[in-house]
Amino acid sequence: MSDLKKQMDHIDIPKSLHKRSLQGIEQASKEQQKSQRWLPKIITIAVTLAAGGFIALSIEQGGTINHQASTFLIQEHISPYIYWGIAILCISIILFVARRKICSGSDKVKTLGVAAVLILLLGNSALFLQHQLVNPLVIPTSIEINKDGQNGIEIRYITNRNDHRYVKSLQADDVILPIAYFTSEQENLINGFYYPYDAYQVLRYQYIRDAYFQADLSVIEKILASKDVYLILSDEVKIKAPLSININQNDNQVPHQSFSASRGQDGHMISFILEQDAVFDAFYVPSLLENQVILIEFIVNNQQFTSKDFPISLKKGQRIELIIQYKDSPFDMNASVGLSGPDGYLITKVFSKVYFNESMVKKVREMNE
Amino acid sequence: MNETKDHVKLLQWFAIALFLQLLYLNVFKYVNILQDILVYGAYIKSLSYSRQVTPVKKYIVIAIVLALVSNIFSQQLLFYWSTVFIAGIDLLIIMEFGKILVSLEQRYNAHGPTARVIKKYVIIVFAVIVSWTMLSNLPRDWQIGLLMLGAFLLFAVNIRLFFHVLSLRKHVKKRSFVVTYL
Repeated sequence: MSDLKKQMDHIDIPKSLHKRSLQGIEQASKEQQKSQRWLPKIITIAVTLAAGGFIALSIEQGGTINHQASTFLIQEHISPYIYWGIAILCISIILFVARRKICSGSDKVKTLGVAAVLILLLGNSALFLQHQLVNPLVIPTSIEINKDGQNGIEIRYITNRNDHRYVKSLQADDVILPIAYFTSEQENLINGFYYPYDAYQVLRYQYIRDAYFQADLSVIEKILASKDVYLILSDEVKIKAPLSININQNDNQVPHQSFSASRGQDGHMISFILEQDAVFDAFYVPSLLENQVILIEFIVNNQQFTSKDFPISLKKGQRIELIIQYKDSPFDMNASVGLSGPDGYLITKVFSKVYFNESMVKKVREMNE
Repeated sequence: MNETKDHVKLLQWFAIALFLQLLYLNVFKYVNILQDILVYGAYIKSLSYSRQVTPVKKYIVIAIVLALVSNIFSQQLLFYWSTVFIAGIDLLIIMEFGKILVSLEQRYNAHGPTARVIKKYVIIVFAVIVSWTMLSNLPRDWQIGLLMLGAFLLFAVNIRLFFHVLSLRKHVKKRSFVVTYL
């Protein structure tokens, strides 16, 4: 037996045979790999589906959707977590595919470059979608109306920058008030970017836009009587308008001169110089704004007082400064604010239009939800 | 001999494609589709003179589909994606042609700067593409600025490559005459 073994050891194995065996091993490993070929295909399909879904979500978010599509959407807001979830899923698939590609001998720099661009695109798209509005929002507005003549009602609304719709009319029960200026031509393109004519302010993702209406007292009374007020867009979609309208009824004013100036983002300073002696015992704002506009302090003869110090007696020629703050900013205000007392009112109209930034859009969004 | 002629033709059509890319026809709506068809047609014609196997045709099909889709659906996010994708695919096509150019240069002993030109081209275009991925989250003025800067850089690198391809073509043509008269 041992002889046979020795003899076998002496037999020379031809080199070509060795090559053959190596070829055999290679062939076997290739065939084994073949059985796993379905994996890249499935991954490609998954990536395509995920990216397609992502774009489909963005198209649903867009403003150019037609009326039927928007009724399906209702007013639901898609959570940003969904966008980020899809983005992270796509990114992990991309990383996985890139790793496999590099392992299988693809050009490393090219694969990494493509993966980096895709990841950046996905991340940026998720961030972009997170800031998109499902439907335009109306900025809460407080308006004071005079008893006589025509009254202007200015309402600002926020739309996504790619939303080409515009406000057509205001609806409250059976009252339909058409917008006061010509709006049929809104396709304004500047440098290839859509720029609506009624744009008030340009933000990163949204436009703050302006809708202006005119109405007499009888129409306004009807609007006041209705429960909800809506703005109607050019594609007949209704958006709720949080309006508070009050009628100016303060005829008995103490004679005075007044000045007002805004103080930062959410405050205002009003100063009065009295033209007769008077006593005041309360801070006055229209009842609808009572919880939204607060008197922080008032200054007489360089002395600071708060609302606890009422009543206060003022002499002719004396100056009083009120410092007020808007509590639930952002909202647009056109209302009379001041002091009231047994001698009458000491009030002036305060106009305040919020200067928007991204976080304030978020606030309006939260207030609407 | 025939091969050299083929190489001259390849470079000629590649130069034509690059020249067509320099024209900014995008100002007219839908004309960019015509431009794409002309540019990609010139690429395909150029490739028909090469025996190397490249995935360029696949890239071209994807780019044309993307250009069509982005023209049909005017959606903001789609615009950003298609802008980046089309620029990326154009870069991949140039990278494939870069390989052909380098091999031609070696073959005809032209000690030219092809590898360096292509490397710079790739780096600059990649930087432009990366900056364009961020377009969707930038303020309006920045968006316009970045698009203009990117377009200017693409124009500059394309014109550099165009002149380089012309000089390479001249060199290859010269070599072919040398062969003829010997």
